[in-house]
Amino acid sequence: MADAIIAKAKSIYGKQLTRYDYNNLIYKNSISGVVAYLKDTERYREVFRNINEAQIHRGQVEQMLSKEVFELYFKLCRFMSADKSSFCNYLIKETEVKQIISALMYIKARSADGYLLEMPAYLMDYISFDMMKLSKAGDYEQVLEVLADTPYCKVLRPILTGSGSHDLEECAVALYAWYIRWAFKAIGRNYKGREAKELKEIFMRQSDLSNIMLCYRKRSLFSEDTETIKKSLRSTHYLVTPAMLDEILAQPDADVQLLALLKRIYFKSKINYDPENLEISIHRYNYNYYKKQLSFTSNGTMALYSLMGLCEIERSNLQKIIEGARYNRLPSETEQLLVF
Amino acid sequence: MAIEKMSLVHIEGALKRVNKTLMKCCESNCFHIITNKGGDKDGSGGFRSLKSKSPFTSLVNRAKALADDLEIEIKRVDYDDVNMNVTVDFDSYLKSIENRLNELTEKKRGLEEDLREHSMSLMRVEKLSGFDTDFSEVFACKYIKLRFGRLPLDSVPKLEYYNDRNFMYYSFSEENGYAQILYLTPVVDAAEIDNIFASLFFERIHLPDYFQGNADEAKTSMIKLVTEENERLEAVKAEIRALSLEVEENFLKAVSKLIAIDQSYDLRQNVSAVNNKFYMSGYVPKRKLKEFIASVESVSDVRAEERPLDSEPNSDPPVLLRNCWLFRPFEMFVKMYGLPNYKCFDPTPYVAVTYMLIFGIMFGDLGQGLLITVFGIILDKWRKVKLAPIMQRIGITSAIFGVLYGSVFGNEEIIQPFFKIPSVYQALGYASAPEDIFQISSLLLIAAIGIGVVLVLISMAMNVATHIRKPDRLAEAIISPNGIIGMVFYASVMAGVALQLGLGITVLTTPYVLCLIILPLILLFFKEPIVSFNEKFVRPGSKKNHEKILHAAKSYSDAVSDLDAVNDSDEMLENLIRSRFIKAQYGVMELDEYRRIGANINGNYVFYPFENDGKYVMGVFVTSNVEYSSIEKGFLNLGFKKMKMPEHISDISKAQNLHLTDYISEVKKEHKSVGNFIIEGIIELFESCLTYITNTMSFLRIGGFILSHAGMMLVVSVLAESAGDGAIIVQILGNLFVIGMEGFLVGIQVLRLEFYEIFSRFYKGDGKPFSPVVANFNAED
Repeated sequence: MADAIIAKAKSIYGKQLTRYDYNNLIYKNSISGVVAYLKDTERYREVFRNINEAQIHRGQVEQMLSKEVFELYFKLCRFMSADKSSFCNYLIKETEVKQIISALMYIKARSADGYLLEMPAYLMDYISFDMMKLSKAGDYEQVLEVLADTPYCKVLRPILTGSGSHDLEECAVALYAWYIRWAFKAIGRNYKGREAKELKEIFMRQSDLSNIMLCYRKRSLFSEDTETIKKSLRSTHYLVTPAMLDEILAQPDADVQLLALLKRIYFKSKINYDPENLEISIHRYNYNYYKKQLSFTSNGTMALYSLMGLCEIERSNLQKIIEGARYNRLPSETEQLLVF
Repeated sequence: MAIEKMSLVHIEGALKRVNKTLMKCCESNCFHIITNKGGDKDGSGGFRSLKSKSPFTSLVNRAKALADDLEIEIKRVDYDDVNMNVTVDFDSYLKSIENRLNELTEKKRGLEEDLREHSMSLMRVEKLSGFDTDFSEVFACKYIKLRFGRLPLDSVPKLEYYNDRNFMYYSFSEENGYAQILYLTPVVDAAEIDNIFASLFFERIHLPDYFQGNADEAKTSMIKLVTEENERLEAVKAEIRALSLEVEENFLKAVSKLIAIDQSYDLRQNVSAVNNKFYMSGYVPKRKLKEFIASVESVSDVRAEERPLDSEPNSDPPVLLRNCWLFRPFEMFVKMYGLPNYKCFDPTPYVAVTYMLIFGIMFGDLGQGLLITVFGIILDKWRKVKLAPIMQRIGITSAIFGVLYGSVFGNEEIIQPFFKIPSVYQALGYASAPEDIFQISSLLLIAAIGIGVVLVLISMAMNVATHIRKPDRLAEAIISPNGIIGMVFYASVMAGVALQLGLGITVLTTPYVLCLIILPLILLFFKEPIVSFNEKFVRPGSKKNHEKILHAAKSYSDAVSDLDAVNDSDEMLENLIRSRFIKAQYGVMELDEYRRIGANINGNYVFYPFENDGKYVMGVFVTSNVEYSSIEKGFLNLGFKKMKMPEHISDISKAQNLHLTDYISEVKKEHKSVGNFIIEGIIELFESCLTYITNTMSFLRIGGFILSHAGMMLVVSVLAESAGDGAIIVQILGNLFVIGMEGFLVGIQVLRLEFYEIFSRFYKGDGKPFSPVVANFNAED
């Protein structure tokens, strides 16, 4: 089964857009031009087969691209053996967390149908709560009611009710912490030895990168104090320990040292590291990491996870290209934002 | 053997007769024109190639476009009675048809546009099936807005969120990820509702106002409209077809003539012209020469004459194979490998005989052989398959060997096999008749190797016969793995092994091994120095090489340098050619010093300048080996710096066919190190010995396939016996399967033996095919 899924994943990766495609796409000055080009590629021919590119809306294209990532994910999950199915729900769980955070943000922003319009209705059958009800929720209490039968309610209730802080950042931290705990439990149940270690390592690496980025942003842009920053950090880590972060945050030039730490640990010479565009740099790191894993792994789940990571990066690239075409951004500027 | 003898023909005449002459050449169907490599630039002596770009191409393109519109397939027809002037008549003729056609085409285009729009509307109204309100009422609504269109299926559930808004929607159908939707809303709320639907990616379809009645009625009326328009369109198309039929005959004649005239310009590029005269050369089969010359000279002011074949140094005569009916089909295999060089012989008869013989041996069966012949005859008559005549012939040899093997569709009881004849099996050393062919399998395999040895030796002999007549290829004939020395070695080894191991006769004695095996190997190892020694001292016929080298250097210098060669007189060249060996040195010297060469250096030498940058001159001096040191000293005194010959010079010379590379290789030969010589010699010797072994073993397949054929037929017989009443069907199917599969495999294997084991020993397919000019056109002076 692992061999089948690895072969399938590699074959799908082989159809991904290339540097040549991106170079053509960044020069498209309309969404219809981008879609017409994608319609001609093997990867997206079927996705856009029935659409009328002359009438299509940017939001619809983005939704179709997201939907395509999920369809690929469901297709590959069918190749996973039953004993690995628990962890294979990871993308659904991650999406649930993102949907809840998104709904809470729209409620806070008092945007009545904001969440509804971006809600992925195609996932209704897979999500463990009623998304339509979530879209109708007008306050946090109603959100908790919708989530009553899910573990998210237990996570959010202390923050969103009564004397809770009602802080959305705290909600996000708590939800992601729950998600990582869930992932570790699922990995522990389904995998052993090296496979389990490899999969856990992915989450720990992501925590390292996320923590450094948060510290850097909060310190350099918002000058927040160490204690406030520490509240936003993820509890898991791989190479960047909390003690290391504590030590750096205590320094007056913490932002500079954070970048140096990131470069020293994760950005070796091969990766194009750009401190001005930290998020893009981290995407570049992830892209290389997933590509390497997909090339060399013998673990089917790792292949699935890596491929989904690469597809997500491709989707994000296309989103930037579409934004560039919509807002007449210069091709050279769009190119800098792409990861390939 | 059977390569058609060619004659070189030179044709010249008044320039205005060039097209007519080309026409005669084409009509003769036996003139292979020598292509003009010089392009259309002015050559030496003011010669220029005639421009090949036809001024009639635009007319031809117009005619082709017209043919497309009229749906007439352009084909060549006889156009003798067409008497049109290319510049005026064709244009007005095409115009007259175009005018008539344009009117109909306009009509057709308008109808097609209407039809497209109405078909689209029909598709839309079909999607609204079930909508039972009159469209005219809908269009007349003053306070309600109706919108038709499609909504992504993912957005449909989201409509529930807007239940409290002032609109109603109805979903007709779902396809391709979209739902066909109609929604209604009061005019006052239309903007808000339209916004909601737009945010859900609703794609509106605008319905035409000519829809009448409800959806079903509108659909019916649209179908009627589309049908009527289709009928009208068909009527217009019929009118176009009628026009096409009316003009087709004359149109094809005119277009054929126009295309023929246009094509004549392609051939003109091979014709040179100067002072209102044209010149061209080509090859004609010798036996058609008189007829051809007479035909060409029937054009006034044109003269044709035969010239010696070597008077065109840059062109090899083309090859046209000519064999008797028995061997002719096997020309296909020779052509597949490559045609023989004009100066070599045609291996087709050899291929034909060996192919038929080996196939017969490998696939010997009287019944199946005759069946293959019948299939061959049918395929030849029915589909003109090129392989069919070969099938006819190999089928017969298969049948002959089938009689020997006593096999008729695998049955060995009808005819007595040769190995069951008492005198035969006793001669083979068997006390009683072997029961089947498998009992003499080892004998068969040895016989197969024997056939292989004989064929390899014949191939080597052919190699010797091919090369021994050419002095410059003498080494290949004598002292090469496929030459006399190689033959002696191979024959001695094979004879020794056969006699000693097979018949127990002691042959491999020390003198035999030393003289016939070791000595040839030593000679092969020292091939290069022996050849070199021969060229230098024994056979100073390297005169021809000297000529070549000097000619190459001279031609190159003439082509690229604006300076004159020093000492380049006929007398000097003759002196150098007469010397036993000449040596050349490339280098650079100052321009002023170059001017002093003649006055300062005495002796037999020529200096050819190649490059001149205004200050320095690069070039080569050529002198005899005897005088080299003194001449070199003289050049060094004038500041000549010796340099390695640049690569680009050899490249250019190659492109110009100057053989300067011969000169370079000659210079390089002198500098080959002993180490290189030993390593190369050992590798080449090892490769030669390995080739002898593999080539010989390769013939084992002959015996292998005899046994495989017998084995397969045995399986068919066993299956047939166990099939009871269906035995005949099993026999038929089994035989067809064996013919189809094994016959095909044997055919390929024999071809493989021909190409790899036989051809590789003597044959180089580097000939140029004879391709006569064939365009058929009437000339216009």
